[in-house]
Amino acid sequence: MERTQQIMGRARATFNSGRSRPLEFRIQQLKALERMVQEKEKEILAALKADLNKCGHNAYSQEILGVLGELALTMEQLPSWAAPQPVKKNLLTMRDEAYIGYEPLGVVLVIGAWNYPFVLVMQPLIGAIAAGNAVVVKPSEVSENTAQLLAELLPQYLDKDLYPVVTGGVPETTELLTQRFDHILYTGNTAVGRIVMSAAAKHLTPVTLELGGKSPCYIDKDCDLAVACRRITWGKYMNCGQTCIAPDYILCDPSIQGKVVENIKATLKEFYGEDVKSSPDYERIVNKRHFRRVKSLLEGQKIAHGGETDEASCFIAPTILTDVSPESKVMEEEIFGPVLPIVTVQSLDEAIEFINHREKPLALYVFSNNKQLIKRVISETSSGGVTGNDVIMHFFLSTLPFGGVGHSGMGAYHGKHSFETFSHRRACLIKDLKMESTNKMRYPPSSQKKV
Amino acid sequence: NPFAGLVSHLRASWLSGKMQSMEYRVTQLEALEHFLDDKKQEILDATASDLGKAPFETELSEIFLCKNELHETLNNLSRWMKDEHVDRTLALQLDSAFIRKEPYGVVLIIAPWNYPIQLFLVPLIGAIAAGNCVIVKPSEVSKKTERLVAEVLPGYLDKDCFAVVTGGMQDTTRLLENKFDYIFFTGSPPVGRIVMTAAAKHLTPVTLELGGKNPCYVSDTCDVTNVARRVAWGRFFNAGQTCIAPDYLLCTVEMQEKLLPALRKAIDDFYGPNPQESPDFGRIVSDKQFRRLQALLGSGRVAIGGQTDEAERYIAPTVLADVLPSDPAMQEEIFGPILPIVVIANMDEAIDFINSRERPLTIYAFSSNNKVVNQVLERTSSGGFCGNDTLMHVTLTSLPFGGIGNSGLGMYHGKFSFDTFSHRRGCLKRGMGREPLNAPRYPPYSQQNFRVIRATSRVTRKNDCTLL
Repeated sequence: MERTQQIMGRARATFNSGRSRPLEFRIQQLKALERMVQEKEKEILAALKADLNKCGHNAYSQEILGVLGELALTMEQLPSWAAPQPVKKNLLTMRDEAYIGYEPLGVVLVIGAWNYPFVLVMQPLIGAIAAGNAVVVKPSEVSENTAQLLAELLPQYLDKDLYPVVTGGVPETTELLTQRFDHILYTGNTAVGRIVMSAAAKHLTPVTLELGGKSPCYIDKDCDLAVACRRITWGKYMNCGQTCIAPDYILCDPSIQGKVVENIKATLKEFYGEDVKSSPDYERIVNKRHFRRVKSLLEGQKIAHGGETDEASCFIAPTILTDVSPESKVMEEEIFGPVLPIVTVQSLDEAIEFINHREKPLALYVFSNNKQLIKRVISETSSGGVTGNDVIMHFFLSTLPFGGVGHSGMGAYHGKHSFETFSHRRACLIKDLKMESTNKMRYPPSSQKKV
Repeated sequence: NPFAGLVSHLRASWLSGKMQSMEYRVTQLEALEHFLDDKKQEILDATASDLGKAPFETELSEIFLCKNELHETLNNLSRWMKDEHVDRTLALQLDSAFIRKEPYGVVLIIAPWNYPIQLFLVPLIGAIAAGNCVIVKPSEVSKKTERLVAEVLPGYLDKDCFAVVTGGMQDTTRLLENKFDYIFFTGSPPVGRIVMTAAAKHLTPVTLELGGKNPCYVSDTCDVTNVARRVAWGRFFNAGQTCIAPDYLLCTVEMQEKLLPALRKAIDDFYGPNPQESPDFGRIVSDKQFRRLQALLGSGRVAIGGQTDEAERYIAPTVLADVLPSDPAMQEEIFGPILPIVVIANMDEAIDFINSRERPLTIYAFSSNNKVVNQVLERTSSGGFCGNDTLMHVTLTSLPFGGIGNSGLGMYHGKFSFDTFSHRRGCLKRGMGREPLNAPRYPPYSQQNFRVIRATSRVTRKNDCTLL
């Protein structure tokens, strides 16, 4: 498609001209983004409501607050992040200049996802701009209102040549992936992650893949169940379960399964009232295809709570499944919906083995009053990130790298980690042309003495 | 799948957790040092046989550099392994937030033939330090070294966690069908693509140390004698078979005239009037590579050297003058003892020339005027950069070593090796108490609650007045 070629050509030529490199320029662009978020708050919230039925407060705290924080942090820290880092020298290089320079990679591609369509484009974009790159932005077509809005707003506030927005579906994305980028950050599912990396391999393009998986949540017998279940309920059902780091399923001893269900039920009533459907704070499934997918996971399961669905509005009630079999469909794929299976395990060992038998998840959660137990679970498993005694929260601390491992992804970002992801660390050694006598040792003809 | 059993055996060992402790990793690393000490003569003999490497070069580039990496790692491992505590927001002040360094699992290291010990051993040090199990695939082209590593190395390491696999292209392809948790590849860009494509099927992260044509710009203001010696040393070390060797020179026609006699003298000082007789000058690794290089000799005009001896796979230290950008010597990475000089009018032209080509592993710039060196540095892009010398930037373990674009992705050496082979896991540990502090985030939502969240988790710019 000619349009893609033109967009790429312009972005690359503009990058090569050096426009995006000066720190002042980058900060100016970030400031413009900040203005955009503040001035167009209403429009952004409206788009999120249209795409996911996200209410204002939810949308603001989940998507906008984080972006404003990231912008403030980045603008503040950029001069120190971008400064060359002198390194330790040895005797031979004592008189030389040795340092690591942070340089932009070139033209990078950011592919967003539909579940948090604003923040999942904005956060990578902030890091990529801060690092001095040109950025092609490809928001998810599934959250079409937000995609449209970004396509309208970004060119109004940012440099049009350096930060183009490309909209469209699979054909447009496939076309985009044939182009040569200097880094690709993709947020989405594992299957498409493979496709992105294969396409990147043709050009030797480094990638950051933020994928997904089934994030396990282990509840120990020794813990404050009321508090644990409240936190789990919050993280599981926010955005109608469509969160990459939602606690996907629970692992616990059969003796507490009943209490877990009761506590979650009580919390749900507190959060959403008697009639969840009419609560302004409860979202909907993004579209009919995902609605049907999540609904089908309920087949043959013991529904302890919820289970009501309404296709017309893509509504699925907050649902809990008990005594779920590890082989069932709901335990095969990432749920990405408001369905919470409980799988019982007889011991901590069994829980750890269960987790390790499966693909490495994006997040792992463990609830216990016993600090040693938490330590053990963390050290005997692997995952992108961890929150102990809560869920989701590690995402909000930008000093922690956010990313996956194994099938849940590779690379990380947020805060300074974004800046580093989108930078090339160039090793620099500057010597003097004088002092040649110290070099004599290394030249042939050789002798043992020289060694 | 002939390697499936091996890979799953290693994975089981990794899952057993035996590699977790620092003590275990230290024992394995110390064993590597014993290997270098005990088998020094065998290593010298094998590399001499494979590449005609002078003992001096082998001691320096294959043994000494590896020992430096080992010592650096052993000295710092405990610090590198520690959890890294991070700054927290107001809302999380009472929690524990840190980055854990964890192994990936089973790592594959594919090494090339030109520095056949260093280029598997240095990554191996990082992989072990980070707690991974490793399969090493040395190059079949450096045959004697491959045999040495395959027969001797496993005896020094824990056989449950480490293995050496030998073979050619076909075996490597079969090996790559397996799922690894990290792949570290050193070699050419075309094979790099194949490795990354195979890795993509399993979503395996990779580090690719590739190559390219490393330009070497020589400005008109410089000490010609010193430049010639440093460039000749970097070019002809290991008979030119070095990924960071200066691949070609860019200079004015006047500088070319000055450099030629200086280069001639440097070569004579280093290798004597007949380099074929010097014990310090290497040989080309294979007939295939020899013939490839021989074909490049037709570019420009042979100003120095040019002699070849197929029986010995000897190519004399050669300098080609007046080479054109369209000549064969300028179409591929040379990887041999041939130094083309491409004449340009000035520094700007040199920079444009460099920028119109693929980004190389290294860029060199020589000038007694620091501003010139900095201009070249700032207006170009490459894996690394060295001003007024060649090769030396990779001897500092505190500098990252890696490429960009076609010359590679990722980096290593020193702590960067440990980081490359570690998964940095973000961890937040909260308490079960203080639940009222969480209350504002729960539904039903309200403006008031929202203000509390904002106040406790916002990041403000230092100049903002919070009273407003």
